[in-house]
Parts: sequence; structure tokens; C-alpha cells
Amino acid sequence: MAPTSKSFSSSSSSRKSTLTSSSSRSTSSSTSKSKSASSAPTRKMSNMSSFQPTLNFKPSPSPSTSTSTSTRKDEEDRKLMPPPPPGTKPKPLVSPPKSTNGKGKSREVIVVDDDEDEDQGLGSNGLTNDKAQMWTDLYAPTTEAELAPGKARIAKVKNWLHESLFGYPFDVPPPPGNVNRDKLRKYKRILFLSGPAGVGKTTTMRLLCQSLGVEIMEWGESVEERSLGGGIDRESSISKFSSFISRHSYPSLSMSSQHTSSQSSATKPRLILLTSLPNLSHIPTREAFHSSLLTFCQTFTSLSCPMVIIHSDAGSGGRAEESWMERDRGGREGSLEVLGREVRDGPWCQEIDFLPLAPTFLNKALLRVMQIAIPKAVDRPSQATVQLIALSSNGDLRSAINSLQLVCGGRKDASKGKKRKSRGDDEEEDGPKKRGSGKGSRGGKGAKLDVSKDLRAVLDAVTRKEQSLNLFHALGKVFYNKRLDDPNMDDEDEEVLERIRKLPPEKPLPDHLQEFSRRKSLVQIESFIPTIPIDASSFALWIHQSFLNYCNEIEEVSAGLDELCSADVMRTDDDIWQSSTQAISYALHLTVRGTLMSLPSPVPRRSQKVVKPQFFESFRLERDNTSALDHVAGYITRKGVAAGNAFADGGPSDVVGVWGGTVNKRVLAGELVPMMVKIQGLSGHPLLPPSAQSLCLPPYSTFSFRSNTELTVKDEPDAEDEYEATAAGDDGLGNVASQSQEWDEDMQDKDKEEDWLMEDDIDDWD
Amino acid sequence: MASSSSTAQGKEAVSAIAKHTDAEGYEMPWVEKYRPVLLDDIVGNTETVERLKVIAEDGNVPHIIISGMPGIGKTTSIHCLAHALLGDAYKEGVLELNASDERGIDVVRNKIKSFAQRKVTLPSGRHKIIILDEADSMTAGAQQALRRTMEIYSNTTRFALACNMSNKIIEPIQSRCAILRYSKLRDAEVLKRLKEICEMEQVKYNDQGLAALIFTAEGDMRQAINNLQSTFSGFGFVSQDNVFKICDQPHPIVIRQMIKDCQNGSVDDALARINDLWDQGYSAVDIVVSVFRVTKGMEELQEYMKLEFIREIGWTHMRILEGVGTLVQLGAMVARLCKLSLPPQALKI
Repeated sequence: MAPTSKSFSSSSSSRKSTLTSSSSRSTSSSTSKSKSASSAPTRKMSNMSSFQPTLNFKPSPSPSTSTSTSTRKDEEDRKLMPPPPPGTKPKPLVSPPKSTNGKGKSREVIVVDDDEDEDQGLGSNGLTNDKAQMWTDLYAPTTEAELAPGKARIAKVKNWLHESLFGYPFDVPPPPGNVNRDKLRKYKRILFLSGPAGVGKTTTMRLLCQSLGVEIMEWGESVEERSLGGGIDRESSISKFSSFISRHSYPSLSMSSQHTSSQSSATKPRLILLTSLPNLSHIPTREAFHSSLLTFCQTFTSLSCPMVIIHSDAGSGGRAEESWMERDRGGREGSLEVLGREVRDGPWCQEIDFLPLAPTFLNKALLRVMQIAIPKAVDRPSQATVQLIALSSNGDLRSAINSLQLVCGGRKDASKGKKRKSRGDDEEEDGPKKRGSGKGSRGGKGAKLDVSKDLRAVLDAVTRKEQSLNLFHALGKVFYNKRLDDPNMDDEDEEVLERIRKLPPEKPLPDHLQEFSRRKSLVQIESFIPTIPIDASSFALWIHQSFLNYCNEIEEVSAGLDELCSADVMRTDDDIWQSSTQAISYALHLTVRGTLMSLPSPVPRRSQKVVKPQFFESFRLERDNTSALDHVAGYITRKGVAAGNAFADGGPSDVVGVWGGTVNKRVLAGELVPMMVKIQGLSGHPLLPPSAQSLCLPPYSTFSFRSNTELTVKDEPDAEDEYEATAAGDDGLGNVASQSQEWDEDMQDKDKEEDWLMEDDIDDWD
Repeated sequence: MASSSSTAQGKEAVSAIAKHTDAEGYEMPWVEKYRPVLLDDIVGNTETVERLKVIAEDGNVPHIIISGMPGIGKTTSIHCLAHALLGDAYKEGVLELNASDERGIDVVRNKIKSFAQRKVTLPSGRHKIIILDEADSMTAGAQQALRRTMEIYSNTTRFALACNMSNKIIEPIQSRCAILRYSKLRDAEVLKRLKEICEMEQVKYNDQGLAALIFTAEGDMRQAINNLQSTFSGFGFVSQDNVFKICDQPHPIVIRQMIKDCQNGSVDDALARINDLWDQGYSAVDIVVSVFRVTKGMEELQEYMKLEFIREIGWTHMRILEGVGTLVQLGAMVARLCKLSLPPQALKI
């Protein structure tokens, strides 16, 4: 009981503080005008568009005297006016900011519960309220130190925010007041955050904004506005968007009387946050979106606010192959598609890429959540469980927390079941059935021994994506190619052996095929296939990657690869074929059976390793390099046009002549870019645009043995959240390869420095 | 408003139909009649369903995605879960949208949202549930729009998505959900349920008949039950022959014989059987699919032979799908299968 009430009391204080703001919004129109200074402009903003204030997990960081007085007044108001009953929700005149609405509503309900608790002294309601929310919402990080992504990345985002809002980097003392800060701000217009889902992009952004005291204005696709006439607004969403961001430079309208407008809230910096984008696969919409972004970048006044675009893209590591085939069908746009070339290559835009979280980071974050969520250490799942969750979530913190909640849900329930018993059966729902089944499935302390097995099963069922352990088993079954009467069969399950011995004898092969006769395999294909945890094509990739290590002779390799080839052809011929499940099962049968047939029997044990397919890495590399090349092409074209114009105008004499223009891709990738990289490396002067700095020359060694990532149970990105970049792969571009990430990092830092030091240079840009 | 009334109407409509047909002497599909209502009754995937039960008791459902092949109980599980969670409030607390309902961005924006905003009195700690069946057929745009809605209303509304391929769901939504994978039902599980239904409906059957049902259904419970009902209402007795007549599939016994002929290298016999099937009016796809099914289950086939057979059948299937579904193709397949077991010198000229 004690810990429950503790957590409850701590959370209730924060809730009260948020309640004050929300209730002030709902009551301000009726009570007094003057005290709603802070909320009035935001309401106006919400009239124009959706608006989202910073998440209030803790009291507002900018204490001003007026808010404290208004808080006190609100407290009084709240005492005078009973809180709205849970059923009713305040009905604002204008379309409410949706997200706040949802949150605010629940908050009010919660406060009602709080009052009841105080009256009845019943502490369990806090718990039920906790239960009503997802942990991902409930235990979102509240300080910068708690954010899961890497420190460097957060610092980068923070720096950008600071520069774009105040005109100088975060960790530098502010320049003297008379310096024009807009010079730098002008070029910090759009920040593009990309990365797989659930790594904390949005959370980071919100938290940083909160700590910097920035108001977030959010444009959500899902917001529909009803015009005053009552009908649905027929304006297309993209034109609404355009007009929304074209208003970026207006100061927030002050609805309050004169004397409040000078307060800090009026000059609070603002920021536009885009999390859901318009339908970009629709070409006209995309073009309109690009052009409105461009306008946004080009029109800058000192009152303009920057924009942050958050885009979840396809994760790179270990995803199913089918998902990369889907990339054309939407939802997989890269920054080029989202931003458009002008904006992306222009000086206004910076991209920051978030990577999947490393298991250590996940572990830390999960432990934090768990410590808040479950105050009693006894109730917490074991360290190993948390690690297992962290490992199986593939760098996605949100799904990891979801899994954790799911796992803890059962456990918490078990301990609570006992409590309920003592309290009597006033709850109708959890009758004897509940307690009975509770014992069966979890059974309190007695079940502690088999908890790990239990949990593993749970996690297998619950967590998504490839489950490394199952995959490992499945691959092992294929690669070790165990057959009946192998030597060293002692460790095999006798039951399985017996069952296989009992199978009816096969008809012997005719004489000319004798070389292909094998002893009976221990892999029973029909029962084996459903245990493969990933899709057929990814499984084939894994097999393909490590097959070589398990063979003795080149003939075996050749035969096996033949089978893999035909499996591939069957799978990916065309659309009709691809969509047929029959095709996939042909391919799977061919993959598994073919491998089993061509592997030697018994497979020699040389402590071979199962290796992660390089496909994913190469594919990512190819995508990156292609887009970098696109950038270079655009850059060169622009340079060429600019130089051509200058030449035509009889410009300065140091422009020697027209250069650049359109080059075809092969020349670009094979001649131009390598040369530019070379010159750049020799001269130390950047020739390529910053977005293409990742391009580099391949190493001179003829064949470099790459360090392959071995599949172990911790088959996840390295501890530092950077992937080790590899040399040029089979990316079809041959001589373009990605550089090691550190270099890249350096380069970007250097760029930033230049931005900062040579800001006057940039002015020449337009 | 409209949303709940539509489900309510749906229910009424079903019961109305049931009444109506009862009056006429017909009955409702057994699939609906014997659709489980309790999580306990769900067949197969025991561990996952066990987990759902714990969730149902706990009350705090995460957003879930259930993925798996058709007919293995995805939708049924979600319905059972919703019943277990909401009890009597099921009608008000659940919005179900099917692939057949309109589910564009507009619907996500308006219908789903207005449902999510609605206040419904539910048992404490419970949430409204929005069921999106066949969610993989939603457009990426609609899914994107769903994303935000899911987050905003997560404290009052939970989403349950059923889909065949979980990778057709966009990544951000996958990240917000717990994904439950349902595997194919095992034959024994299907058999058990079929027997139960036979018991309740007093269907006469023999074991070969049920085995044939399971063979044709391939782990799809819905299809198995439908076939059972059709066979029963058509013939009154579930035997192997009747089942294959109803399902209109080439008789596996014939095909088994044909494969054995191929294994023995007797081309003429095998061709004769294929011709027979062809004359009975089966299409090339029907025949080749059955051949594959029978082949992979044949135990007397040597591993190597099986591999080669499956490959040849696969190639033939591919050609047929590309449009040349002729008897010649099937003949060629049979000839190639036979050639495997003939000694090479016999084929030399």
C-alpha cells in the first residue's frame, strides 16, 4: 500500500499543476480576461490551426509572477466551481487542439478521482488510473538526461534549436546585443529528423523545446476544421497547410488587454512541428508541399519561427525483405521526397538522422521506467527479463516499453490479486475465476522458477520482428543438417529420433541417382517450416550469407546456390506470382530442402558462425549513396546554371567559363564525383555539397575481408549507436562508398563551425 | 453515433436473418454459429491466447496487431477479447471497421476520431476498442493518419488490428502496437473442433472424410467448417469422396497414384491419370496445386526426389500462372518427373 500512495501523491501534484492550466483555458472565457494572458494567444493559434503546447509532465519551466497568481486564482476558482463531471468535456467555441483536449480531459477525470481518494482514503484508484494509460505516455522522460538517444545527437538537435531561435549556439555566450542575430537564424529554417519508429525523435524534440521554453505549434494532418457555418471545411488539406505555414512570421495575436502583452509569454519563441505529413505519394500534393516549404525558407523575418519535420522512415537493420520491396508503395519516403530538392540542398535545411537504439541504451531506459512504474523491487521482473526485452525490440524503445508493460501487467496483477483477496470481493469482475487462473498462469512466488521460460514464451508471442533466438535455432537446424544415425547423437531428443525411425521406409533411388541418397533427415520439413520466425525471403538471405562456412567441397556450394537461385526466381518473378502464398512455399521448400540436400553429412564442426546478411547494410548503403549522388547532380546543375548566368551577364572575370550542367549518372558516379572527392581530399577545401560528404573513394586494397556481424543472441547494433560503415559493396555504383561515420561526424562539425564563423559567406548564397 | 449503431444494426441484421432463415427451414453458417465467444474456446495458438487472457483480466490492453493466415482466428480472438474486457458495454464500446467498410483517410479522420472522442461508460480501467479488420488493406495514407489518432486517444481508446501480413502495416504503427503472430492451426486442432461441431450438429462422418476436410482446408478453420457444412447439407454424410466432390478438387488419391507412377518411371500411366483429371474439367492450376500438396506430404518419396519434384512442380506452376495453363504443360511436367527416375542411358538415342 505504502509505495502505491507514494507514487500517487507525487503524480497528483504534477497533475494538479497541469489541471490549473487546462481549467484556466476552459473557464477563462467566462471568468476574467486578464488572468488568461498565457492561454489566450494559444487559443487564438488553435483557431488558425492545430496547436500543441509543451507536454506538461512537470510544472511549466518559465515561472512568471502572473502565472503564479493566476494559478492561485484558479485554485480558488476550482474550489468555487466543482470540477466538471467525468462525462462532460469542456466545449470550446473554436475547434480545440486535439491532443491537449484528450490529455486535458483525462487530467480532469483524474483530479476527480483524487478528491474521492482524499475523502475515502482509498489509495488504489491511483493505480487504476496508471493502468488506464500506456506506459509510453505515462513515463515519458522528463529531463534531458533521461532521453534515450545518444548524447551527441541530442546536443546537435539542441544546438540547432538554439541557433535557429536565438541566433547563436547553445554553449556559446550570447553575442553582444547589437549584433544582428538573424544572419544565422536565416539559414536555420528547417530541421529534418529522420529515423526508425520509436527511437525517441518526437520525445526529444518536445523535451528540448520545453527546456528551452519554446512553444510548439503542431500541424497535424488529422485535424479537420469545421467552419463557423457548421459544414466541413472543403479546403483541401494541402492548401490549409500552405496557408498555415505562410503565417509563420506573424506574432501570436494577443487577445488580452494592453498591459499583459509586454509579458514574457508574448515573446516566447515558437516552433512549427510537423509529425504527420500530407500524402506525399500524390504528386500534386507533394509539389505543393515542396513549394510551400520553399516559400517558408525563403521568406524570413526576425519574427519567423523555424520548422521541425519528424519523419519515421523504414528501419535499416534486420527488417523483412518484403518491406524493402514495398518501398515504392508509400510510407518509405526519404528526405528528398519529403523536402524536395531545392529545400534539401539549400542552405536552410539540416538533417539529423536518428539510429536504432543500442540495447544498452534501451536497457537503461527500461530500468528507469520500471523503477518509476513499480515501486516495490520485489514486483519487478528480473534484470534478465528486461535485457531480453531490450534485445528483442530491435532498437525500438516504444515497443520495448509496451512489451515491458505487457509483461509487468501480469506480474503486478498477481501481487494485487492477493491484496484483493484480503479486501474482500467488492469488485464484481475479479471473482474466483480470476484468482484461479492467476494461480495457474503465474502463481506468485511458487512460479518464480519457471518464470524465465514462461516469460520467454510470452516475449516470443508478444515482441515483434525477428526473434534472434528462434532464428538462431531454425538456422542451426538447417546448417547442421542432422540425420539419422549421425555420430554423436547422444544429445538428441530420443522421442524425435524414435518418431523418425518409425516413418515408413522410402523407396530407394534408382541406380543412377545413388549419389543423392541420404539418410533420413532429422528436420521434418512440414513441422519445421512454421517455426521459422521470419519471412521466407529473409530466411533465404540468412542461409545464403552463412551457407559457405558449412560446406566442404565447391560442388556442395554450387549445388546449394543453384537451389537458392531457383528459389529466388520463383519468389520474385512478377506481381501475380509474388502475391501467391503458393510461390512462397515453393521457394521455402526449395531453400530448406536444397540446402539440406547439398550440405555434407555430417556437417563438420569447425565452430562456424552464423552471420548476419550483408544485404540490409548494402541496401541501406545503396540508398544513401544514390541519394547523395542525386544531391551532387542537383548541386552541379545549379552551379552550372549560376555560372552560366554569370557568364552571360558578363560577370566577374574570375568565372572562367560555363561548367557543369547535366551529366549522365554513369559519368557522374564514375568520373566526376571520384575526382571531386580526390581533389577535395587533397586541397582540403570542400567541393561537394554537405549532403554528399559521405561519398568517398573505395579503399585501394583489392579485396578487403569485412568483419561480419555474427548472429548471437545480442544481434543488435553496436553499443555506440553508430553502424560500422563498410567498404564499397555491391551497390551497383562500384566506386562510391560510405566513409566511416567518425569522419562524417567531423565533417558535419566542421560545417557547423563554418556556418558559425563564416556566416557572411553564406549571405552570398542567394 | 453512426458507428455504434452500424455494429448494432449488424448484430440485429444477423439475428434477423437467423430468425428469417429459421422460419424458412435454413440455418445460419456454422462458421458464425460456432464462432467462439470466450477466449477459452479459441482453438490453437495456445500461448498467445493465454497471453490475451491475462491481458483481458488485467484490463490494460496495449494496442495490438494480430497477424496470420486467413481462418486461424484473428478476428475471433479480438472479438472475444473485446467481449471479455467490456462485457455488456460491448455494443457501445467497440467500433469495428472492416475492409469492406470505407476506410480512407476521411474515415480515419472523422469516424474513428469521433468514436474515440465519444464518452462511453465502461468498467473502470477499460477502454473503448476500435477493431480494424484486415488492416493491411488500408492505404499508407490512412495508416499515417491513424498514427496520430492512436497516440492522442490512447488513454481512452485502444486499437486492435488484424492483418494477414504485419509488414504491410507501416512501421510507426507497428512500433505503437504489441504484435501477436498467429501460426497456422495444427491438423489435430482443426480435427478436434470439427469433431465437436459434428457432435453438436449430429453429422455422420467417417475418419477419411474429416481427414479430407483437413487436407483441403490446409489449416484454415473457416474453410474446414464451411466445407463440412456444405458436405453435410449436400450429401448428409462426410466421407472422403463427398468432401472432394464438394470442394471440387482433384482427388488426392488419384494424384498420389500419379506421383507414384512418376517415381516408377511409368510415363504412360501417369499421363493417363492426368488426362483423366483434365477430362473431369479441373483447371491446370487446380491440378498443379494438388500435386504440390500431395507431393510434399508423401513420405515414401526420397528426400532428393522430393526436392526435384517440388522444383519441377514449381516451374510448371509458374508457367501456368503466366498463362499457359494447358494440358501440354501438365504432360511436360509429368514427363520431366518420370525422366528423373529413368536411367540416363535409356534416354539416349
